[in-house]
Formats: sequence, structure tokens, C-alpha cells
Amino acid sequence: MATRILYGRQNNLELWGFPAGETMAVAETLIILLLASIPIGVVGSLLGIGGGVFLIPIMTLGLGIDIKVAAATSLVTIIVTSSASAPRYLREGIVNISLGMFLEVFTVTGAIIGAVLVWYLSTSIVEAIFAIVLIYVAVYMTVVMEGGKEPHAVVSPVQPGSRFSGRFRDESTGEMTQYGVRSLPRGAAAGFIAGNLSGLIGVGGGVVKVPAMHVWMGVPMKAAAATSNFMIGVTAVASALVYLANGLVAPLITAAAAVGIFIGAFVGSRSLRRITGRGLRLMFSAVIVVISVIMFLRAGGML
Amino acid sequence: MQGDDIRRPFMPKAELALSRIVLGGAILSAVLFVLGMIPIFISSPDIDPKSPVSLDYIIDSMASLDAMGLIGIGMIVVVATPLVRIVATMLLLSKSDKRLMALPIITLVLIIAGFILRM
Repeated sequence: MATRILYGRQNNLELWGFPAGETMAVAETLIILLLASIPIGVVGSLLGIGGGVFLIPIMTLGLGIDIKVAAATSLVTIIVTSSASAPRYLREGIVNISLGMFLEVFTVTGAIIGAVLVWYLSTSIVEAIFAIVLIYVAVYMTVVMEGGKEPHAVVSPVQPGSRFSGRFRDESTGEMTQYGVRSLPRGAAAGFIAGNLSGLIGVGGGVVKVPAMHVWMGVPMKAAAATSNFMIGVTAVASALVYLANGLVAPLITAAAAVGIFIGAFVGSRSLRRITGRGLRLMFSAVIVVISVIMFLRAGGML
Repeated sequence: MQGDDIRRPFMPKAELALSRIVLGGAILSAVLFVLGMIPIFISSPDIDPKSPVSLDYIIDSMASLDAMGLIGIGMIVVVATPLVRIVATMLLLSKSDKRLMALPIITLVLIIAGFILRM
């Protein structure tokens, strides 16, 4: 009767492809996922990485959700969190919109190819790729961002007439920062790889784009992070639409995860700006390495 | 002055308009998701939430405006938000920098092509 009230007619259940008689009640699953997503949103926001590296393992290892469905869910949550956090950077004028639009062409291309590839790859291969990316994220958090220090790069001088040069006022120092952009082809290649990873395994790809923009293209770290955040929603929507077209999106778990991460990211972005303590970064890196090992074992059929 | 060498195709007002579009989309989708989940939390129907569904089913459900319909609309709002942002960027650039306008057009064409080719 409840389903009849909810979905208008009993047959709608079949239309939606929901098999009846699951052992775990739908409300129970959704509440677990929603509550688990809140700390993921907080931690992701504090660490300056997307929540996908934590959300996907919880869905696959904890709730037994297929990694392709988990990736689709993660992509939708990425769009929501990017849409929620990008406005602050836009209002502050930190986002380099022109550069973001240029790189989006390549991240979107990579994302579509990645999302199409998923359709042809086995679940174990996707899990193995995810495990490898997790190792990279752990290394990025401990070595590259060690002690809260961002990778250092020489900021490019402003090129007269360039559409990609930018400037912004650093709120922490009150100083105006001006910069030019160099190595567009290398940035485009990094954007393609980041987009491809996003489409393949449902992560944001910021861990590839941000250091590439900063180190290779000479964009100040704050502008690189804000511009990456601005681009992530568009990149994720390119692959999310392919997942939708392929029928890989589960609306209920997506809604629960999106709301949880939205709440968590909102709380996280308004508390501490970033976790800078080395100990905490090491702790989360260790957690990510453990998840990666479990994913490898699972991909190899040992779990 | 060095700052005068920097071309700014987007004025602060335009950046504010873009920020309102994306924030509005995020809030609206989150509200729709919550409204859709409340009746499911209350009645806990005997369904498997982990099963993926086709796009046709999502579109079909939207007309009913029931719990699943609201979540379906929320889903469409989520994916539409970045697309609306791209279109808004194109419109803003049409007044300030027509050459740069090619970038969001290419992005939009790629996204639409990727979607259509997989359907």
C-alpha cells in the first residue's frame, strides 16, 4: 500500500526496475548513506579534495553497490557540491573564468571518453583503476601538500592582451595578486587526464588539475583551486549525462548521498578553511591507502 | 600600470550572476531531494534503492510529482545547473568577447554530443 501511495501505481516499481524483497529496508539504506555522507562532505571540504575518494568505497565496500553505480552517484554529488561552493569564489573574483572555460573543453572531452569506457570495462578493472588513483591521492596529500604547504611554483608574469591573465585580491593578506598563464598545451593535457579519471571512476579530478595549473601554468594556488572547483561541475555533468543515458544512475541513493555531502560541505566550508596539520593529513592518507588495498584485493577477486 | 594589461571579459556583476545561477541550482536540487526522500523515510517501501534505472523511467516519474518524481526533477535540476551556467557564460561573452565565446559553445556541443551518442 505504501508503495502504491508513493509511486502512484504499483506497476511503477517495475518501471523503475526496483526488485522487491530486499533484506535491507530502503529507508535504512538511505539514512545510513545520508549520515555517512555528512562527515565525508566535512572531511572533503576540510582536506580540499572531493568526497568521491571516501564516498565510493563506502557505497561499494559498505553497502555492496556496484562501483559503476557508485561512480554515477559520486558524479551527481560532485555537481551539487561544486555548485554550492563555486559561488563564493566567483563573488570574490578568484576564479579565472576564461582559463576555466578553455580547460573545460579538454576536461569534458576526457570525461565523456572515460564515461563511455566504463561501459566496456569490467567492474574489477574499474575498481583497480580507482585503487591506483587512491594511492596517488594519498601521496598527493602527504608528500605534495605536506604540512599544509602547497606545491610551490613561480607565478607567471602578466602577458599584455592575454585573455587568460588574471588578478584577484587575496583576502588573507589584502594584497592584489596578478598573474599570467603559460604552458596552455600542458594544462590542456592535464585537463584531459583529470576529466578522463572523473568519467571513469567518478572523482572530481582536482588533484590532477590544481597542481598542473599551479606548477605548469603558473597560476597562484588559490586561483587554481577556485578555477578547478568552477570547472568540476561542468566536467562531472558531461560524464553524469553519459551514465544517465546508459542507465547507471540509482536516483534514491544519489539523492541521499547528495543531500548528505551538501550538508557536510556546507558545514566544512564554514568551519576551518583547510586542515593544515600534518598529522591529520597523514591519518586520512593512511585511511585512503587501506581503502586502496581493500579495493585491490576486491578487484583481484580476493575479497 | 601592469593591471591595465589584464583583459577582463567578465565584469564583477557577471560573476555575481553566474554565482547566483549555480547556487540556486544546488539549493533547489537539494530541497527537491529532501522533499522526495521524506515520504520514503516515513513509509519505507519494499524496494531496492541500489538498483540503477534508465533515463526514460526518471523522465516518466517526473510527471507524477510523487516522491520519486520529485527526486527525478531534482536530478534534472542538478545536471541542468552547469548547462545553464555554460549558456549564461555564452550570453555574457556575446556582449564582451565574441572570440572567447567559442569555448563554451564547443563545451556545450561536446556534452550534448556525448549524451546523444550514448542514448
